Amino acid sequence: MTICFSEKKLVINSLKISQTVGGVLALQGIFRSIPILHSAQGCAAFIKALMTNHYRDPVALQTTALTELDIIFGAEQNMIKAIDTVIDKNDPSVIAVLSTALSETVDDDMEKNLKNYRENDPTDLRLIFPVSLPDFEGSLESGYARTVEAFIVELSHCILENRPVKKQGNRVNLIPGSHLTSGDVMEIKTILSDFGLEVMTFPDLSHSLSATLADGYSPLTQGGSTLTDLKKIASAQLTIVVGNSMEKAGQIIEELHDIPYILFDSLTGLEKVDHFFSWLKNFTQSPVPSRYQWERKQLIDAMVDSHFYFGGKSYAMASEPDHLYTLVMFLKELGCMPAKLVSSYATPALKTMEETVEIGDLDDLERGSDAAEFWLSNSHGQQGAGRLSIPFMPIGFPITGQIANGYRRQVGFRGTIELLLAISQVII
Amino acid sequence: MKNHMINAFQEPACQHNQAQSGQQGCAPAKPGQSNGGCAFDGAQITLLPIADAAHLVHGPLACGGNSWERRGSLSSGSSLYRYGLTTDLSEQDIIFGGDDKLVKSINEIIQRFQPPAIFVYATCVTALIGVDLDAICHQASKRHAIPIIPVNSPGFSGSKNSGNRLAGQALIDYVIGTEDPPFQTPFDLNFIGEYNIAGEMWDIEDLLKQLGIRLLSRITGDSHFKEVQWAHRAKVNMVVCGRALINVARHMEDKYEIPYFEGSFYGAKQTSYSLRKIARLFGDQRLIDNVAVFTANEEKKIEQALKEARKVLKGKRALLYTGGVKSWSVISALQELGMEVVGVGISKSSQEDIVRIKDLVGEDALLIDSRGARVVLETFKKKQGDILIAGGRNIYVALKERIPFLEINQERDHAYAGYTGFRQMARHLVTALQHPVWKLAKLDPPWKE
Repeated sequence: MTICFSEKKLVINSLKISQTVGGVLALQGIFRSIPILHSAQGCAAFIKALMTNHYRDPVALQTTALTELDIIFGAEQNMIKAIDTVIDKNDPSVIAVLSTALSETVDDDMEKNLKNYRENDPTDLRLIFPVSLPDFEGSLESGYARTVEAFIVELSHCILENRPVKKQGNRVNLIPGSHLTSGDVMEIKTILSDFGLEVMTFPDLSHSLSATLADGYSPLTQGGSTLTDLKKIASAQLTIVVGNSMEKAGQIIEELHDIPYILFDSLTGLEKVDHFFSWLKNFTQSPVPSRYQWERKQLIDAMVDSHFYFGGKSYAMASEPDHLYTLVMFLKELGCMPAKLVSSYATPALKTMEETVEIGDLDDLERGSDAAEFWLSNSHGQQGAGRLSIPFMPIGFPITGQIANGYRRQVGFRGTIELLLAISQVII
Repeated sequence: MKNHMINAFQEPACQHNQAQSGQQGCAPAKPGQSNGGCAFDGAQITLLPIADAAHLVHGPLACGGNSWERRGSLSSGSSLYRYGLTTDLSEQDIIFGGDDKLVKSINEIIQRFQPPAIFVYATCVTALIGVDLDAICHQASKRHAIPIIPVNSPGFSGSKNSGNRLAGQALIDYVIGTEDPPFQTPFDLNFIGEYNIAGEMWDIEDLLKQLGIRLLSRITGDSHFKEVQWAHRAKVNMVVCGRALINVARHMEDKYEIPYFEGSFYGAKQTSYSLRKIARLFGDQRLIDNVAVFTANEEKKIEQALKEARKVLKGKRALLYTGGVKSWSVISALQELGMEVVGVGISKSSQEDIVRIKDLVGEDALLIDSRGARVVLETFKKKQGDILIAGGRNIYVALKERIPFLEINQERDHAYAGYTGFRQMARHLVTALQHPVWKLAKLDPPWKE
């Protein structure tokens, strides 16, 4: 057991980000979709502002706009009105209704209400599904994972009607975790296709929240996987899951479609990327393309050149569990040691780590990091790092005051080199 | 809680409360087509700039956790306001009322930070489960001997605007008039509803200093708690940003006979007008004369400085989509630069704002009375606009459509108020319009068939 908990009642400078943000993020990776927050209007406005600041792109999001009176007289009507309005105005392919602490507290039965709603028009083929995402559980990472799981179940209902499905030899599913950027997802897709694989990705942020598939502005998502493509997931040979938090999504596909999955807990750092490529080589029976062999040499060269700077350095880090795990493993390869690690909520993967991780806030990080020589966290941590005069590098979400957060890469040999360079900019 | 709300929404100086359609307060948000913030958001925006106070959000994580460190209000003193403090209610807390956690959180804040005051914000969930914020704050206040102020503005009670007003009510009920300043001067002025976005108030304060006018209380940009307490000792109030805090000004007029006016510092004309108006309200002939000379000089200087920018901006067509006082004061600033305002968003403007807007833009401009990016874009195309000027929410809407953009609302990083700010605004408008990226982004790849 290497997890401990903050002793404070009060949260000072929250690291945790509400699950609904993760839910909204997941939907951005599905084309022509929109999440509807079952909430007061402010909940959605905050998320929109937070995500727009980080991604510098419009974010598809609506709300049931609950008021005090709606709660007394039944929140269900607001949900129906919101869905009707969104369909009428924008005609989305996918709608997810995300619960919040408010709708959970009034015990609004979204599942039942949505079922009734669907029964009114069984000919409507779009996907509409509820996800329970109360603030008082988990964090961004779990909200994203739960939304992907709920989406797969919903999607599977309409696939299973068209059974049997013929498996395609080179087709694989890819489920990237919430800690991976648009740039990361694009990098993984590129690697897989360089091994001759056809990839169904979901959520696919590689062309959403950055340069998008469609041009111009729309209230719906302008990028991400299309529903037509996603219906092919049942014909894949295998599902590749990246990030421990997404394992359950892989399991659901295995159960529903009889497709095995393989989990990669990280695709960052020499050993993790080596493991990925050697697995790919075996799975596809293809040689590793020379480009990647060359990138691997570059990574080793960068690690050797930088080892004077990184060796023996101690760092403070706070991030979501999968992201924290990924970076701790990589920083170990660079010879760095954690002074203090803080994460947003406890997961089984964190428990397996040798290092002690505290579940707490950015103030907990600040109070244990006097000895640290660099600080990694989202931009909210910058003030704490400043008070301790420790060099700060923004990671995770949200990041403010710099551009191209969506494109930054940390996976594969190339992404690992870029991450190494980014950290070295801060510490050298 | 109910009493505060009734007071705030019976505010006679607010046009939203007028007899028309028997409506009380601002129109409610619509499910599936809502983009605005909530009452909690509005209350937080208003009070958070009180920099040395602790601001504690009593609620589930999202209310505080998704919203802290978002605004551009700057402080020259304490940075306690930058701490995001929340009780982060768990499911157990919600079942058992959360009182215990609130009391302990207040204790922890006092032990750790020793603030002069704590603002405790209600949220939807705490209002719903019936937390008696007034009673808890009252007891804690007695125990710790510092003001602990309940802000009863849960998100689902209304719009951002209504939250501004409820926060104003909290200042009236608990803060203003509870302390005296160490000394007074003949020319003590308050700003009400000025938030020191990107430090722009400092430029104005500098002008006031040159004229011998002291800013006694800043409500609330770059303020400390004590100065808000002694705001009732000022001789003149200026309401700077919209009518959201008009209740505070009117209360001080009723109770302390402090005259107020509503003005703006956007554009040279408005800046000069406001300075002259301040002098007139102080009623001192020497000050009035000084200000007249000073503003004439400043205007001459800026006339020279803006020559080049005016050449570029003359006749350029702008669409302005913002709210409150900015919806008319920015129009007049743009017109000073020779620009034409072809469309104005009025969904967040009061009747009085709209009258002023109509006076300024004439018949040809379109007034946009609904919210949402789509209407803005349609109007922009219809009126063949050159630049969109709006809040942060619309930046990337414009950029996706390859439309030049200037950010005008609270999240921005640039100071636009006063003469100095006006020069900067002109410079940014020129840069936005002339930037090479607009040509480049429209190029098709040469290999495209």
